[in-house]
Parts: sequence; structure tokens; C-alpha cells
Amino acid sequence: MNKQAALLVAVLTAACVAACGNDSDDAVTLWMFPVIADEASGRDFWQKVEEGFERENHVDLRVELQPWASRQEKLGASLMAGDGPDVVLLQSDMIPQYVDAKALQPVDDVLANSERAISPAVVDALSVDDRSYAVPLYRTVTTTVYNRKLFAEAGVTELPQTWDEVKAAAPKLAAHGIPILDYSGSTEASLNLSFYPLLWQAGGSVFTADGTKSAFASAEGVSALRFLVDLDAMHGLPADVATRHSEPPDDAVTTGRAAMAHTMTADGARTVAAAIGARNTAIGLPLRDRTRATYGTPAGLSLLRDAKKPDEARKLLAYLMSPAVVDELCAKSHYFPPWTASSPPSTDEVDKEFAQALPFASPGDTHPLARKVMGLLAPHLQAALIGTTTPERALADAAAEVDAMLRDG
Amino acid sequence: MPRLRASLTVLAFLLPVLVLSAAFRFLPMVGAVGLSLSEYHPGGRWKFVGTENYRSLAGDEIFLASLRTTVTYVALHVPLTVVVALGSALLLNAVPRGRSLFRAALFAPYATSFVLGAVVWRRVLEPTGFLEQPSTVLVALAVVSVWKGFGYAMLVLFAGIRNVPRDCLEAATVDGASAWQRFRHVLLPALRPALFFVIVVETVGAFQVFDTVYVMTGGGPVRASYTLAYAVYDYGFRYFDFGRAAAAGVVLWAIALLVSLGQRRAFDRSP
Repeated sequence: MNKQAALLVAVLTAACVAACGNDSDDAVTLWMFPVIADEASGRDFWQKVEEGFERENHVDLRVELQPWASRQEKLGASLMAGDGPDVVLLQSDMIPQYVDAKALQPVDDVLANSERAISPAVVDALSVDDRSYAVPLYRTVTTTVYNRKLFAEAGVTELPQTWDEVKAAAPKLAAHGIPILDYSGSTEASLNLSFYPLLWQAGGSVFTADGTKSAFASAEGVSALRFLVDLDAMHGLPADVATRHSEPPDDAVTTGRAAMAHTMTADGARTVAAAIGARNTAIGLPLRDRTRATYGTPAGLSLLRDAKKPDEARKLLAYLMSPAVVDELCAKSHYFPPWTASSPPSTDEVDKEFAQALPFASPGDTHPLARKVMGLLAPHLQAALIGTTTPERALADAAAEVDAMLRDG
Repeated sequence: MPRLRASLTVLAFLLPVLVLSAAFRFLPMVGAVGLSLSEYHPGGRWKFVGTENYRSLAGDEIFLASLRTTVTYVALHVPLTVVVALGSALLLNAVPRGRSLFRAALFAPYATSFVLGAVVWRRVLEPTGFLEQPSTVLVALAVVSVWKGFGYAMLVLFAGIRNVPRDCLEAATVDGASAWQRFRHVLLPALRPALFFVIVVETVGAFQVFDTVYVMTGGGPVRASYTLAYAVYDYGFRYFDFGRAAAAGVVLWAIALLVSLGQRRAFDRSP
């Protein structure tokens, strides 16, 4: 009995081990994210894309819809395991890091056959060393969104458009217990949506032109951080600003606990309007100090170096960058098309307002170590916001760490 | 021959555990050590770099600070867990009725999803400002971790208490020992194996703390809760520096192993 049972255990173990092998299939895989915020609409769109591509190319396509949260980490883990997709959606500022990690293949050949002219700025943002590493799908822009009612209740009749105007209005709102600006100081928040736009507005940049050193500890950087610290001293930022990570629908503007946000997406603005009412929601141009600037980035589809079906994946890229697919995606997602003559994706008022911000949008200083720089800089910004150090000291300390990292690779 | 057959039978029964341990414990460990000696790019391209990753960690102030933060966290978490678990186990032992109910209630946090619990705790702690101050954040995280994990330690210690012969305690009582003396000179020595197990498990777990930090603070504020395990995550999955991540992981493993061995020796020596 023991002998038979032992044999059974051994056979079952061997079977389990054999079953652990790769279950390869013939489908091209695409990792896509909730670009279309409405889940049902997004599912229908990608189902249609799957059917259209398979009909035209006689190749199986599997679109895997992933959440935005921790996408970088998930992609990193899947690449590490050698189990990544063939094609993945990346934002322009992520591309240099993946190129540096030797994870992407150039796609210039696909891009050369585009049926419609693509904005040179978009192509440039998706390129590294003059080689394109993504076919553009859409571009995003962020801008300032206000709760008009909170400003009116505080007696502020003109919505602030410059740093000075924000600082002038902050005490009036604070007197009503409302911080003027929702700001995320958490190390989890991307600096592209928090500190960097202020740095650009002050006329500064993250890196020197040649990318070999940091440039944020400049007078402009100090001015940007001083702006935040001064606002905080006036109770112009949420009490938990240093550790806060504001994201719609839980952000302070949507919940009526702050009067404005400086880098909100169009979807975020719609969420605000739905929560506080369209009449109380105002969309403005990006804030201005020395200059007017905001974060906006093209996003594109990249071909991974270890794609299991590279030829079929190139066909997929060509299919997905066709005007028919891109225009429908942009109409449904409310993102802007990547074409030379970019018009608002729909006739919706929010899109029209956001189109005004497009000329001021920039993907920022792209660099292979941009994400690592954010990781080093963010804790020092927190220290200044908490008040344990000055803006000058915080940025100087961060610059020392970043420069050492850039020097050592 | 029968002896050989018996050995083969034993081996066959052990096979599933051996295969699983080899596949999910030993091979990844060997792989991690190999990875820590290389510069690795996604998709399997790698270059042998010797001890370069370890040398770079030794000169990395942020890594060294994460090491200090982790040690501080362990120093807070382990004693707190042992005290709370031992206190709860003693109380549970003293309850005359409804012991199962109390045991289930005290064990409930351990069976709860930690992410869910941490989100609730974050909401609870936000108004207090404990998570926003570098001086208080580690204490707050340790308290939350103790809430989550003490139930398991409590059960182990409770089982230990129940195994202490009643006649020893009764003899001590007859000899005039006070409650404290019975605890200090009878119960505590009898609980040594259970305490050793709890302290080792909690120490190793505390060195590996990640989920609490990930959900509640993201390593902040100002890196005050940036632990070693969080650094491993950052190096690997945020910055794609897999070699350095593996080296940091090996350092973490070596520290946990040394501390566990040290604890074992300390327990063996103490009377």
C-alpha cells in the first residue's frame, strides 16, 4: 500500500513539474491601459480592434487590459521573468529608461509608412538618439482647474492665473478653512504632475542641456519650492501635503476641500464637474510665473525587444496607428490625436478648454534616469514642505545625490 | 534490500516538498546570488560584474540609511509584538468562559487582508499626523504591524502556556509564590521554545517589512520609513537595476540569517 501510494505521489509530482512549462500560444499580445475611462466603452473598442486586426492580418491578437496603478513595476517584473507582452503602451518620458535597459526595438520603419502626418514634436518626444521607439497613439495635456464657488465665497472674483495671484488669494481662502491649491507631496506621486510644472513655470529645468548634471537646484528651482513653502505657511496647501497623493475622485478639488489644482487631466476636470457642478467648475490656462507651462505627453505603442512575434507585432503597430483607429480612440478617450493639425478630440466644452493649454504642454526633460531622479528628489521636497529644511538646502542636498548618481550611472 | 525500498518510499513521499522547496526556495536564492554578481537587462542579457553591486551598495548613503531604518523598525516591532502577544495569551488563558470567541476576535486581524487593514489604518492615522512626521512614522507603522501580526504569535504562546504542567504552577502557589514569581520563574522558562520561535519569526518578518510601508507611506516622509525591502523593490521594479536589487536582497537575507543564528545562540546559552 505504502509502495503504491509513494509511486502515486512521485508520478503526480512529475506531472505537476511537467505542467509548469510555458503555455505558449500564437497570439500577439498588447498591454493596454484604461485610456478610455469608461470601462464598457473601452472593452468594446478593444474588442473591435482585435476583430479588425485579425480579419485584416489573419493573426491572433490578445489585448490585455491592465490597470494604470503600478504599471511600471508590473512591466518590469514581467520583463524580468521573460514573460512580457509583444507591444505595450508607454508615455514619452518612460521610453529613454526602457531604451537604456535595452528593452525596446526601434520602429522607424513602421512610422515611415504613416498614412497621416504626425506632429514632429510628438515624434521627437518618442525618439531616443534619432530613433523612434514608439508609434504615437495620442497626446495628453494637463491644466488648471478651479472650484469657482469656493473662490466666490472667499471674495475672490478673478480666478488666479499667476503665482502672485495665487499667493494673494491664498489667505482669503484659508480664512474660510480652504487651502487654495491641492498638491501631492507623496513620493508615490509623479513629479511630472506636481513639482516639475512649477519648476518649468519658474523657467528652470530638471537636467542640464547635456543631461550630465541636475539643474533643479537653481534660483528657478528654489523659487518654485519657495512658492509651495510660502503657500503652506499661509495654509494654502492641504494639511497633509507632504505625504498626500491626490488622485480623482478622492482629490481635494473634487471633494470640495481645495480650491484649485494646477495639473489636472481632462478626465479629472469631468470628475470635478460631476462632483461640484459644471457651473462651479472653471478650466484655465496653465499657471504662469516667468512663463506659462504644464505637463502633457505623447503616448505611443512600443515594440519590446523580446517580442515573441515581432513581425506580426509590427503589423499590429501599423494597424493601430491608422487614422481610423487613432481618431476613434481619441474621440472615446478625450485625448488629443498626434497628427500635425491636432484639433480637440470632440466638440465637448472640456476638450475645447484643454485644447487651449496644448501649446504650453511639454513632456519635460526626458532622460534614462528621470524616474530615479524623481525618487531621489521627492524626499527632499517633502523635507522642505514639512519644514525640517529650507528650499535652498533641500534642493542642494537632492542635487548632490542626483549628480553623484548621474556620475556613477 | 527492504531498507533500500523503505528509503525510496520515504523519498517518494518527500518528493513534492523537495521539488517545491528546490523550485521556489533554493533555485531563486541561487539565482538571486548570481544576479547580484551581474548587470542584468530585461530579456536575459547580462554581464558578469563581480562584487561591483555590493561595492556600490556599501558606498550608497541611501541604502545604508535604509539599513538603519530597518534595524530601528525591527527594534520597535519585535518587542512590541512579543509583549502584546504574551499579554493577550495570558489574558486568554485566564478567561474562564468564551475563550474560543476571544481567541477568534484577537486572531481576526491576522486573517484580515493587510492591504485593506492598512488603508483603514491610514485613514485612522492621517488626522493624527503620525504618518507625516519623520520622528513618529516608524512607531505608527510598527503599531499597525503589531495589530496585524500579534494574533499568530499569541496563538503560539497560548499553546505554550497550555502545555505548562498545572502541577508545577500549583506547587509554586502552595510554596507561596506570588503571581509575578509564578510568571517569572515557572511560566516564562517553560515558554522558552515558544518565545524563541516567535522572536525568530517576527524578527525575520520585520526585516522583510514591505507591504505596510508600500501601502501606508511609500517610504516617506523624507525616507523615514524607507526600509531595506522597499529599497530592493525600488532598485528592481522602478529603476530596473536588477543586479543591485538582488545584491540588496542578498544583504537582507544574510542579515536576517545572522540575527536568527545569534538569537538561537543567545537562547541556548541563557539558563
